[in-house]
Amino acid sequence: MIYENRWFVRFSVGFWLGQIVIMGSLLQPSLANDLPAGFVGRLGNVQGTVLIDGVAAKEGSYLKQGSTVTTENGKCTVFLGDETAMHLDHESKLEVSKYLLDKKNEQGVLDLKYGATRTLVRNRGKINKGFFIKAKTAVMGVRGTEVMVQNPPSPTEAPTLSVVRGQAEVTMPILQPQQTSGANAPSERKVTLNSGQSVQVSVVSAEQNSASNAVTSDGVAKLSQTSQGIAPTPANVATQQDLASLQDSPNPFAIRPPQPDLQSTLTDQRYQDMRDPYLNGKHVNITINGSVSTFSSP
Amino acid sequence: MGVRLKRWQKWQIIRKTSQRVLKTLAVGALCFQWSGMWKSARADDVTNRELAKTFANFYLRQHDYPKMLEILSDHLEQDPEDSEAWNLLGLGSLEMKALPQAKHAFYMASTQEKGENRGIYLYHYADALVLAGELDKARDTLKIAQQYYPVASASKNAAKNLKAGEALPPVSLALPGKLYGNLTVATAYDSNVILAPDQTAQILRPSDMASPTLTGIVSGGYLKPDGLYDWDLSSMAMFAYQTNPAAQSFDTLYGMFKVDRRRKIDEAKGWFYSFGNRVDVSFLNTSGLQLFNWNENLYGSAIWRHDRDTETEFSLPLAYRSFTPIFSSAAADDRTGPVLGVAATHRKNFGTWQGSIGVRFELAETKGANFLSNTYTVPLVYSRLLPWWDLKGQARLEYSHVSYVTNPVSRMDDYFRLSLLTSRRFGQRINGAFDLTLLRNASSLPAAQFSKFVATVMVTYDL
Repeated sequence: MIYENRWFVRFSVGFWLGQIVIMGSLLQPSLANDLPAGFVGRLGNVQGTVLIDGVAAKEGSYLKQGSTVTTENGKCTVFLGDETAMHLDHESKLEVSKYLLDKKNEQGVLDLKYGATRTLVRNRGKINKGFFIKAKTAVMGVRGTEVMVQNPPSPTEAPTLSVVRGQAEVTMPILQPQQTSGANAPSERKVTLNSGQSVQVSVVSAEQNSASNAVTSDGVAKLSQTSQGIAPTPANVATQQDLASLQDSPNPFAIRPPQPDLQSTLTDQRYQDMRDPYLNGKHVNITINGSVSTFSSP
Repeated sequence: MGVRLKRWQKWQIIRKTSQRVLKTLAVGALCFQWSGMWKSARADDVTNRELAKTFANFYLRQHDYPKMLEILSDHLEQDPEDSEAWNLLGLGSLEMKALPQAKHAFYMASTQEKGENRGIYLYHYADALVLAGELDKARDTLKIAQQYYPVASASKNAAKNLKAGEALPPVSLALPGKLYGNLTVATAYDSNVILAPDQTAQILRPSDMASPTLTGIVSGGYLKPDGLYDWDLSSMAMFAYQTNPAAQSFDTLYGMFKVDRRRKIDEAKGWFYSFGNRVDVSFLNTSGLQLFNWNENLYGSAIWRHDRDTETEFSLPLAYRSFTPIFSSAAADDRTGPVLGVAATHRKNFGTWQGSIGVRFELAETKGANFLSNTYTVPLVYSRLLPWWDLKGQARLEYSHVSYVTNPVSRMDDYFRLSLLTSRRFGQRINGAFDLTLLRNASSLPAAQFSKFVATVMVTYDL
């Protein structure tokens, strides 16, 4: 049998791999691993106004170490290497303080100045990771796989660091009561967060924010729901039509949005006046006022 | 006669038994630990899969197929059970005309997938087989794909006309439509029964009599997703019975049919358009008086999403109202005619509460000069979740000024309406609501002035 010939099998595999490589190089010579010198990542899923170092960014824009990404009314995803994606919510500012990537290691320090991020880090990747997200005085060392950091813009408001799935270690200063008078320097505290856990890190003083620094278990479902608000799970590309739609869609998350929950949609329309208080209000009035008001016009 | 064991034999038995117990426990513990590890691996898979998809979609949008395939191949090396990723790898390979890779990827996708998507993956596999000239295998594969609803008819049609090297028609996944409906029963107390439509009853006076009201409503429709849009066909039928001691007994039959095409609202900023048509038919039967009306309403609206919590809607309702002038034979009292409207509403979500403010103008071009009118309305709505028993609350304040521009007595009406609504869901299907509406017309025509309140309890059952 020809298939039992080892040389034939080797040749076939080599031929097809070679074909992919050749065609790939013809189609797109610039690969992310071969980022231009000095760049460490790219921006994707850009919606609305997003700036890199104050300059308007677009889909595929490159990032350098030290770059700052600001989303005003927009949103975007910061792609670092091949194994980390940081979704940035509206009104967020992120600085790529440090990012190094080689064949074996990925080291990154990302400073979320304000705003919210949903970050996905592959935990079964090929390389060792040292990936940290800073938010005011707290630092989260991400071991994988999905974390969420919410950092309010006010310097006195406490950031919240959550692990939706996986595990992370949060380092935060312990603010002693006397620290407000400057008597003692803050000491550090480390907590390990597991799936569904959050910690709110006090930035003012122990007295003013006594509920902070305690680990709370909100549950994976609840945290997942919140993090989906920052960036939903991308739509499934199931068909060639989806493939074409995704390439042309202005909103990469909505090529084929899920069917709305009919019951809640109807309930909302009738009782909450969510979308159209005018027309739906009429519907309520029809019911409430009995017969005569049914003549009310639209 | 029992066998007497020596002491060393007894120890031997005890030792062996305890060894077996320990071994069983150890194996059990290992299995338990392994199952825990497996579970955590599954949890990780959720993110790892999403991550692979996020990267793949990004490179797809960049038209960087080789990088997309590289990302997916790396991911599948770690997680070969991800059927979605196999399928995407196949689609990417097809784009690059790498048929053997596409065939393999689709084959893997169809073997790993256990749900309804298996049909799609089989269809893709058949597509790759046809392109590779393997028609018999493709035909067999399409036969299996026919068992899966989303691609059943597409597979059947494709199997009839296979040509080597010619791609199958692209399969489209139209989401199935859904029927919906609900039943509502409401009972109300109306403090001052108005004998004709509030906004068109210029010549009729209020009864100044209170009455209980009983209402039954059946409504339903069919929602058909169509890409980024929804088609919604809905209808409603209502019967209301109202009575009071002074022979003011009447009942109303009302029917409505509506067709809407509206853009699904999602997270994106931008414009969302919808348009539709609604027909209202109503029949009022009271003591010795029958009144039949119909309205035809055509409307279009555009919603501008500023961000995920703020939006502004602009709408342009056009209507034609047919209103039989039964109370007067004078041509000047004929209220039939077109109505042109324009409205804007701004809505904002503030977390636990949401508010909206609107402004609306309507011009009613009636046949009769007595009722040609301009109406300005300002609705204010405040909705919030209440802190008790999962109640939702809504306060709605609306002011309308109606000016009858060609009326000989220069009539002007000022309507004030305040509605306070609380509602609560009971399980998946039942919704209860209580509403208190206060309504006043401070008309320049003394006969048209009235004040009233209506208290309603309403229960809706979703079918």
